[in-house]
Amino acid sequence: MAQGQSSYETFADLLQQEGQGPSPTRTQHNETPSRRERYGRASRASRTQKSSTESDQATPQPGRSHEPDYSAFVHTDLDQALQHSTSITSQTGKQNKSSDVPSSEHGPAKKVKTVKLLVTILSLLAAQLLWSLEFAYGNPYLLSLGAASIPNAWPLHCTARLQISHCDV
Amino acid sequence: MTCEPDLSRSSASLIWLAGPAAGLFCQPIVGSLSDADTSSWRRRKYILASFLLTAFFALLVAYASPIARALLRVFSSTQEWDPHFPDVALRTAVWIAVPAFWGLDFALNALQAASRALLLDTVPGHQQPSANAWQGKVTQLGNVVGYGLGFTDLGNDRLLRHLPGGQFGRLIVLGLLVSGACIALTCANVREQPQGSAPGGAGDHSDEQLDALESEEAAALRLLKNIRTEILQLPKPVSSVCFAQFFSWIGW
Repeated sequence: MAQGQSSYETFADLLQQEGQGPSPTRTQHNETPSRRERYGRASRASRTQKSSTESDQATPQPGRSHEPDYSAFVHTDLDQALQHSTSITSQTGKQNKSSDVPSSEHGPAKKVKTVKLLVTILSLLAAQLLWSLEFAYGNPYLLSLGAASIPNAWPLHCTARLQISHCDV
Repeated sequence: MTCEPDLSRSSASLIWLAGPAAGLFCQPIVGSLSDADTSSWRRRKYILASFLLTAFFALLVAYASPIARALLRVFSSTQEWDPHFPDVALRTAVWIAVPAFWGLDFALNALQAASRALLLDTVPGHQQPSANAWQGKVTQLGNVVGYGLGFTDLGNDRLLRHLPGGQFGRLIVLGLLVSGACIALTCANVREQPQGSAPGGAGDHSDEQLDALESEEAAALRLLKNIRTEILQLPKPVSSVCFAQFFSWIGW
């Protein structure tokens, strides 16, 4: 699972480098050499762990087998393999938008902008604000409400009864 | 009469107890319930619901005294001309405020749990560290703003002057307004992934039917069982983090 996640991240990073919108044809044409090399290596040395996780992603299998399906990467033709890998990339890109594909357990792969992150955290800010208000002022308020002045107010009084017996009223 | 300070102090502990107790019960239950939800509002639903509950209980606490008076006027034989009326009214107010305070604690814990879950859901794994850092900053900011509001003189504020209730009532109303705006922003802007059915939608559907057939009690029991097995089967790193947290809290 951890392996699958890490390759997921590299896909997300790749998406980031490409400027978020990889139409398969465009990315195919302006391939940077490093990327070409990367996938070239992956397609040639199909026995490496990395390619196995990629094919896992392409065809989700029930349970992680030790000998995954390498069929996508056994061609020697580099461009064909590249085309396949870009199609995977665009699939993962689409996965964030389409609603019928479940996201992975570890959250979506796409990087979230800081602004969006802060907006998400705003609800936590709200909770914390109310929490601190409650704890800072709730206690004195409740006590001012009559805990001290009303000896028979049960909810506040029940724990105090024991102590009263020790006192000389 | 010499016991008065003791009385207030020990009663305070009863209220302090509410927070941790509510967290203990509420957070796993809300987490588990919203985990089971598959809609695209799975977390936000609980955020909104718990915020509404929070607002309700907070207002109940803040305006316990006027509410108590109003209730007495309608339902009680003790009326305002009665010399005992202030006493009875205060007692009623405490009866309203303390349970409402507990309710407030539960609702706030639910709000926190759902918000954290939303954060975990929407942020990818490699961004979680920075999300956590932001969460820490924002939490402290909330604390600073919350405690700092105590220094403001809300009693003479032009906008809030017309609100009934003392400083506490105004603080609560102000806090609810601000946090309501925050939550509205979050809920409007965050897109959640609907958690589609796991491989084989048919199986999931029959699960739903099972749920419908199940009585409320059985469902609740299964929920608790789920939480128990989750706790017992925690992965090693997670459980060690939990232990560290637990003991650090005792130390604190």
